Amino acid sequence: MDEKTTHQREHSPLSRQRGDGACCRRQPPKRAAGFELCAAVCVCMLCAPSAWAQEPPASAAGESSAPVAEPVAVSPPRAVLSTEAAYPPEALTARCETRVELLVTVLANGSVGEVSVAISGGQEFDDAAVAAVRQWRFEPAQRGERAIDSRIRVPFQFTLPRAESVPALAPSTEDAGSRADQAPADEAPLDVTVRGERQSRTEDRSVSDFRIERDVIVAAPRQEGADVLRAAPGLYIGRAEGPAVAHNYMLRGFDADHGQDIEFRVGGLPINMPSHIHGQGYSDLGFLIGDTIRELRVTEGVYDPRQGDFAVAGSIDLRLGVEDRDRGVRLRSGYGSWNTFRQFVMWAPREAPEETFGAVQYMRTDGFGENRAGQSGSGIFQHRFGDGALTFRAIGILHVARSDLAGVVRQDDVDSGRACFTCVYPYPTAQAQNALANRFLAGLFADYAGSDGANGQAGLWLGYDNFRIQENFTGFLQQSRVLERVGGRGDLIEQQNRTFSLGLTGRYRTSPFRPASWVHGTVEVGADGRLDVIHQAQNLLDASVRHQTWDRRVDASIRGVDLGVWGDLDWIFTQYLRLRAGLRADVLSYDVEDRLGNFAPLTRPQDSFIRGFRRSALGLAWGPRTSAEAKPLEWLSILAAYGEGYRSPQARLLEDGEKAPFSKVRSADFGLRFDWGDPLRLAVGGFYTHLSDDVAFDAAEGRLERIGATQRLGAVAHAITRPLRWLVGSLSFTFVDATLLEPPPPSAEEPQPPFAEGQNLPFVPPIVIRADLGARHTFIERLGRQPFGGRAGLGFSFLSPRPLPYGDLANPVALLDASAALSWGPVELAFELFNALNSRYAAIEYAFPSDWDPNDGIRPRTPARHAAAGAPLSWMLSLAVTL
Amino acid sequence: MRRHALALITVVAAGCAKTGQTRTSVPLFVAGTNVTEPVVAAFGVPVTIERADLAFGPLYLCAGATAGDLCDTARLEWLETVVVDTTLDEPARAGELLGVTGTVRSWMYDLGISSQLTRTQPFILGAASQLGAASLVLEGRAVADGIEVPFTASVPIQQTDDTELGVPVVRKSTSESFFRDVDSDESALLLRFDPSAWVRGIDFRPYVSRETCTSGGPTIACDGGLERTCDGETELSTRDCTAMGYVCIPGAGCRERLTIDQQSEAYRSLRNALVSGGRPSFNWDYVP
Repeated sequence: MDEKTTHQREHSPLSRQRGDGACCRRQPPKRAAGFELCAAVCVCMLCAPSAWAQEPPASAAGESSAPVAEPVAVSPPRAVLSTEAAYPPEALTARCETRVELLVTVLANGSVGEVSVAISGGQEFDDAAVAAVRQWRFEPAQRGERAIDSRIRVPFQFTLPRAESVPALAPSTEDAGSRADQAPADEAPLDVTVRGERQSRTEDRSVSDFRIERDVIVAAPRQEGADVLRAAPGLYIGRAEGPAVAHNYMLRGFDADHGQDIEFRVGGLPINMPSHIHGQGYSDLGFLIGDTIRELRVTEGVYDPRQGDFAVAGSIDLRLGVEDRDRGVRLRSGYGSWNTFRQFVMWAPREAPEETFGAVQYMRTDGFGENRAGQSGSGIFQHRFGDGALTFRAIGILHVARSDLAGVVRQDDVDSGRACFTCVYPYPTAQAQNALANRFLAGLFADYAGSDGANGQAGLWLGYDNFRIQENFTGFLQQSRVLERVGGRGDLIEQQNRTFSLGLTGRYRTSPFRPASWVHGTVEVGADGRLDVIHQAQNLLDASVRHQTWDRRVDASIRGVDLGVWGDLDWIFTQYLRLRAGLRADVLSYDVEDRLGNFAPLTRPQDSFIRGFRRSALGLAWGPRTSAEAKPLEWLSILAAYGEGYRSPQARLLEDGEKAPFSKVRSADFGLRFDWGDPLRLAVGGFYTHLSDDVAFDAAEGRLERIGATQRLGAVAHAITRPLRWLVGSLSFTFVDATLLEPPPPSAEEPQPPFAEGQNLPFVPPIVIRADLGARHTFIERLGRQPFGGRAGLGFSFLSPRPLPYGDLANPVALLDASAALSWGPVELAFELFNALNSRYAAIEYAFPSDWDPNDGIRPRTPARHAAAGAPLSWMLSLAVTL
Repeated sequence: MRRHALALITVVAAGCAKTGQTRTSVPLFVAGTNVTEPVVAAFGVPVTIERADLAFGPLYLCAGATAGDLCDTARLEWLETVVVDTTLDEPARAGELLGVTGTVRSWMYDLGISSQLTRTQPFILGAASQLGAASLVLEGRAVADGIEVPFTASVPIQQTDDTELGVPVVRKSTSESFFRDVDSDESALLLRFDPSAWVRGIDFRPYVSRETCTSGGPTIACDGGLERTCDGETELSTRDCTAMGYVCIPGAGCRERLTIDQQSEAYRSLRNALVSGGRPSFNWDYVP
């Protein structure tokens, strides 16, 4: 539905063009003085791009009408109240006449949003023009019956003895319906660029579709790029294993571990890694650079046919880009707690589109406790090029990280004083825990936006990932399955995973078809395909003897192919009803070479067979994706949705010829969305999700194992408010009752797994609350020729006590982050506090047997609580310069 | 205000949680059996048990039907050790079984000496240390062929190089029946040991004889309670062990008590009985 306008080079708002009045000083273009809105309000709800790729831009600026050539007419904004600019008194002595051109964003409510100087006439004249236009009021641009944001170019001609303002549209202070003709005959035609909705695609399929704009993303301080996800309603992310290991995610009642239940895309590139040895759908977002994240789209539930594998709890799409206000060359250095150093460099040419930038960052830290030192580096490069209906976007991502790991400690050891909460057990097998991650992703996407409203995209991407981790959860419990009578050498599990991936994507949505005046619709067809070649291994290492391998558990290669196709109908009946019906089908195939398969116990003679087990499986997963939206009032939408999706299996666990290897998810949503503009946007709703085959973490094996069917029933509320131009706030509340529907599969060790009707899923917090608050203000318009201002932010996350296995209850988690910054022209000094309340909490908790005292002659065998400590209070001081 | 709000949310959320299993503890009691009558050992030899101290623990109760390798995760466990006077039938509290609710179908335990994967040598735990690195100290008197033989046995029960490391040595067998659905309201578990079960299989006959000096015979021969020192057929000397209050042990002569040797059949019989034969009874209905 949304078309983004590009900054066409010839009409770049920030290009340095000379106005008239050669005797006047020429100041570089600058942002509008005065109060600045922390968010790009106009783009928030109306201008969301495609969820699965960067949408192509609208037709070039310079056209006098909306680029969307469709049956629905687009009209430009019209000034209904204007104010003349006052000639700066201090310039009278210089006898200057000059011209200033402003780029003015006219919001859908008719007020003036962002103002920037396209052509400067000198500082004083720029200020005068900006001050005048900020008092203007408009009839907003319209697409059909709907008001939309727009951007117009307003020239001001300052002549002696009295300045005249030359509005883009004729002002009318009393008669909003009349159009005065005041434009000078020699003025160039107005350049009106409409930023609005295109009727080709809507992103909001349910009440649980959330779009988090940049102003909310940056409101609260973030320790790392992935922390932007904290703004997503109902999502909790924890970092239990250091910067080289993916976060732990919880969303909508799902303990998604490292990403098994959430489909992640960054810049259109898929992030989840199928059949990863450390976790199905493993998604490491450690490469994210916060300054390059333009928008976060969170689709909770599975109602969009474009959602594919791992979209069980939902999908999260991060759109990359750098806004006008942040473009240039930026350097930022930071230093903080635990000898943490961060360096960031970004290059985003002002003349280039929002999506064109390059950014790199480096981090190193000693960590907040034993064995937590780490380093990481990442680079993200993106470029939008091309003109007209067909444009292209190239993206590349590089990431390297290595960190030591602290692992987990037993809660009873902490309680008794035998270990401290942030300590590591004093054995080589615990001290040797660490992880390494390398990743490379690249993609090329072509975006087509036809003048008739048709649009499409095609893309090619490839990726390489190398991961290695050494972790010990259980101490000294393991015995070798390969070497006879060898055991107790420390359960240091080494996992290796190397993946090469290649993918294609394509989709096409037709122009609107209007069989009658009161109905129109579009049809989209699309396909996704990917090939993954995976090599993985798992061993046990003896850290006390140069990491000798004393057991081999996994040695496998997997070739997986996933081909998905979908169709989607999107029909609008009058202005009150919208129906969407889609269908998606995926064919997945796996070829597994399990080199340790059919492993025989040590008591079997070794000469009776050759070890190894090769197997293959292929299956089809398909399901509907439907939604309905009723809009009885302009500010009220009623949404309902139903969809069925799937999650691919851990390929090594498949049997030969298995035909239905998926975990099937059924999801339903119902809710209301209230849109009162900037003062308040509110969404409230309920949801239900059924998963046929859930998984849970097995500490002894260091990987996920199957449990039974599960369901989630919950409610969500999300509000965004921008009550003032300089203030933005966001609040979300999510409640979920996640239960097990059947007992886990029986085993020889547990032939009758305990099960109680309505048994809660462990680790899932029933309540997740998130609040973000940001403020930005210019204190002094000009202090030594530069504006002096500041910003402040607060971020608060709360997790209610989570049920743990065996009746335990985790402590609630309350985390408060705060930041404050002062800026003077291009320089900004910021101070950030993380976990300002110094809450002591566990980033992750488990329950399993372990033995961390190998010399006492006693082996505990009942499940014990284990925890990985969360980071305590920390601070970061950073200095940034934007050139 | 914020603290109260968070507390309220915490209470509400906690009250909503339901779990299939909960942590529980069950008081553990141990007792012996007051054996008032002599035990009839092998070949009808009556044995009076005077002392039968057993080092017991740790104990594990498991969900699967077979303990051992298939009990990496136990339902309940007691990780201590205690010396049990198995001649007394008065229960004594040993401690608490800690774990989670659910069904248990098997058990396994050590007798004060545990085997761990981290080293090949066994660990002598507290109770076994009290018994001089033994799992069982047995003393009594057997009357074989009219001859009273006071005896003592010190038996360590432990995994060896020929057995399985890292697993308790005494385990429920597949033929034994054992089942309990453990909930959070268990009153107690009582384990009762019967030392007579360990003694019944011992053959004391080799420890009595009525011999004279013969050619090719032993240097020390026992003729009931009389010790004969021989040189072939020639009797060099005699001693009346009975008059001294001793017992004559064939090949050894007058001794205060018979010490059952670890290489003897009697020792093997005793060991097998401790590992595979003389199981304790498990009483879940015991009310302290």
